[in-house]
Amino acid sequence: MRYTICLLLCLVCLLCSAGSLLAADIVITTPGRSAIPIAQPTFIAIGAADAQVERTIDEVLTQDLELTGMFEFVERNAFLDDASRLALTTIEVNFPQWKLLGADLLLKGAYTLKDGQVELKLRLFDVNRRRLLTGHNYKGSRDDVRRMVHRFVDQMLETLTGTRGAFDANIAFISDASGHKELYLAEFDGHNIRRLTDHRNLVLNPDFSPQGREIIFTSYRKDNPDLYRRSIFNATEARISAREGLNIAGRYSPDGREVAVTLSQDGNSELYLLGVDGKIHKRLTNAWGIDVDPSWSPLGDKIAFISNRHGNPHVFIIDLLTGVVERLTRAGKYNATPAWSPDGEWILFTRLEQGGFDIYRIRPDGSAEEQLTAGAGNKEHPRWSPDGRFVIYSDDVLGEKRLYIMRADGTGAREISPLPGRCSHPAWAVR
Amino acid sequence: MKRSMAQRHRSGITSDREPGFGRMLALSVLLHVLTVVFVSGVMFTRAPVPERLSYKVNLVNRPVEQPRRGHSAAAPEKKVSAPAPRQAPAAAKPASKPAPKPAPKPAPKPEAVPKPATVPKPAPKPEAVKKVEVPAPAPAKIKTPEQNVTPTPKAEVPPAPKVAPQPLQPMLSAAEIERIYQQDTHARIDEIRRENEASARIEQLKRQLAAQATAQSPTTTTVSTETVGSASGTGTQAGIAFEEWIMEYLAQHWTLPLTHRKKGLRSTVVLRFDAQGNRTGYTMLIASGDSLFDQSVEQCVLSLQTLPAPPSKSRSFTIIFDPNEMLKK
Repeated sequence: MRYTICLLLCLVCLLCSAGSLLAADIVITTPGRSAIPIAQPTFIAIGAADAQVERTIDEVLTQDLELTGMFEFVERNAFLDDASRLALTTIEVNFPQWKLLGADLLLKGAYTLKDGQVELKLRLFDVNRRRLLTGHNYKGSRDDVRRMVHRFVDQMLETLTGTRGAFDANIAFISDASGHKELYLAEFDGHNIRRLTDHRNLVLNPDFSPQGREIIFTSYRKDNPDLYRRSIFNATEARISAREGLNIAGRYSPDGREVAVTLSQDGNSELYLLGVDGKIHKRLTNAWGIDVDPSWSPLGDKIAFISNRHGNPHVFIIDLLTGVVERLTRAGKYNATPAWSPDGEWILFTRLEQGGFDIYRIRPDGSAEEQLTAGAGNKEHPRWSPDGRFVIYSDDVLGEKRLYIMRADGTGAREISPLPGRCSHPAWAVR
Repeated sequence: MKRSMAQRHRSGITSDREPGFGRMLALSVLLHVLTVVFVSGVMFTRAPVPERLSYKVNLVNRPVEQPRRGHSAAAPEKKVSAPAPRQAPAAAKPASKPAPKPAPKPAPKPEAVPKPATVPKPAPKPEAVKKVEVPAPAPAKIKTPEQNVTPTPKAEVPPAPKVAPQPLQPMLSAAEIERIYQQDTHARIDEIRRENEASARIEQLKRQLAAQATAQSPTTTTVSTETVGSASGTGTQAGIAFEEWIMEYLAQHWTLPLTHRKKGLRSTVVLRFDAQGNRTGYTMLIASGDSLFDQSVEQCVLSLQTLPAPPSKSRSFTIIFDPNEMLKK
């Protein structure tokens, strides 16, 4: 009997303590601040200083970090003496100074000019824990300084978020700067532009291979919209599909072994799977309406596309294993150019409303549709950055078509400049 | 009963129940019930986190172990004597309005207040003006009835600069300038008085409305907004609960970029403090799996090094960082 009573008492005590443990939970639902305070003092010159290099580093760092929307800069006027000291190790950095200024992160660096080469040292510190988060040394010509900084910001984002940035990657786009719509390549912020094609006719719809070494596009070089494949690093180019009718909107599969494309060889626009050599592997759709603009899911098991099989153009998804086609969008009368996000969470598309195209996003299950852009002008051809943080698209709000970039949630839109001519059909390469 | 059972046993009639069967059955049932309650309580209550009251805590208030019943956002209680010297200079301006509200006003001016209360109007006037000795006395004079305003126009410094351009007109005599000056000054004084009266009336109405709202609000009937305490407090100490203080502090110091507020992210941390209120450590019990989210949580808990008041013993708090509530549409 005593044993039983003891047992009961123990149980009751256990229950009480469990109850009190639950009651002790503190739930915090609302973050008080939305941007990480970061201090970024001017880089220190080791030896001869160069204002141009310093300006470039500052400009690129500020641009990239602002674009992420994750950081807020600590006011430089408030910096104390540690900002002007060459302190790049955790022992040398005066962390209390930076903590006093409210910085959570500290980005310090130095550069050396020697024989026309720039050596750049970049360090990211955690001020609260007084530790180095990431640091890299880069060496290259003065023209490489921008890329060095882009690369470091990518590294920094990977350290902080687990997902590498995509700033050190090229974008492809179509521009008529030469008088014809040709294919161009540039850094994501519009620097280091170079023209890839000289077809002297209409070039459209570029897409990078997953390895980032090749690009496919449609060209009217032979007076028919044919599909071309081209190396980025040399001028090797091949016409991989020149079937009668349309050979357009080619998109590499995530493994890079196949290309989804719209062909109209049978009189109606349908989706096909081609090998990278142009051979037809499979016909994907067979409906009376047009089927265009394929976009692969990141796993490569589904493709979103546009079809007007139910009347108006809407986004549909086809399961490549079962062949089942499901309708995704139901609103609007004209939807176009779907783009599946790299993390598989969203599908971008454009919709014609009130005389202009705007960009929308929707979950692959058809939920949570939301409009990302608004205002005058046509926002078209949205494509994701490889890290899924940004969307690049064309907009003619200022009269001529220009390329713009915005965050995945539609905030922070800004023009990519300075790009030549009227620009459209952007695509962001994987690093 | 025992005898009859024994008799039956002896007489060969078998019993259906063993001796003590009832007690054992009761014990068994009790144990089963307790087990079910325990398992369902401990293992399953965490899945759906119950809706929590959202507090708005004034971090000025110190946390205590046994907070009394009260309002966590209430301003800390002040000692009656403390505000007296601070409000003395401020009393010059708004003095006229609070006149109907005797409570706050008399305290700041212990010497001057008794006079207006007991002595007729003319007497306190000059005294009050002299005491201030600065251009500001204009409002102080307005505090008194209207007819008393006239004797102290010179103290009105603000109108003076406006009138200053007048002497530029060469045709005006000194007497005329003085007359214009007086007229303008009087007009300005009247205007100020009217403004003050109007604003005093508005303030009074506001206070009346607030008092009515407080009296009528069903949510505040049991909790005095004047009392510093916890809404769920049962103790006797003036102050808020440690949990409330920590929740408000951490919420203010939690930085999570807008671009990173995604559904499904949630971390649980245990924060430990010694009896002096110093943080002795923390443990990430359940990480969200998202690098930035977890780092933001760690940075947040690291920002809380010391509790503003020592708890009576070393304590630990389980803190759940869960922005999903906020992301609900």
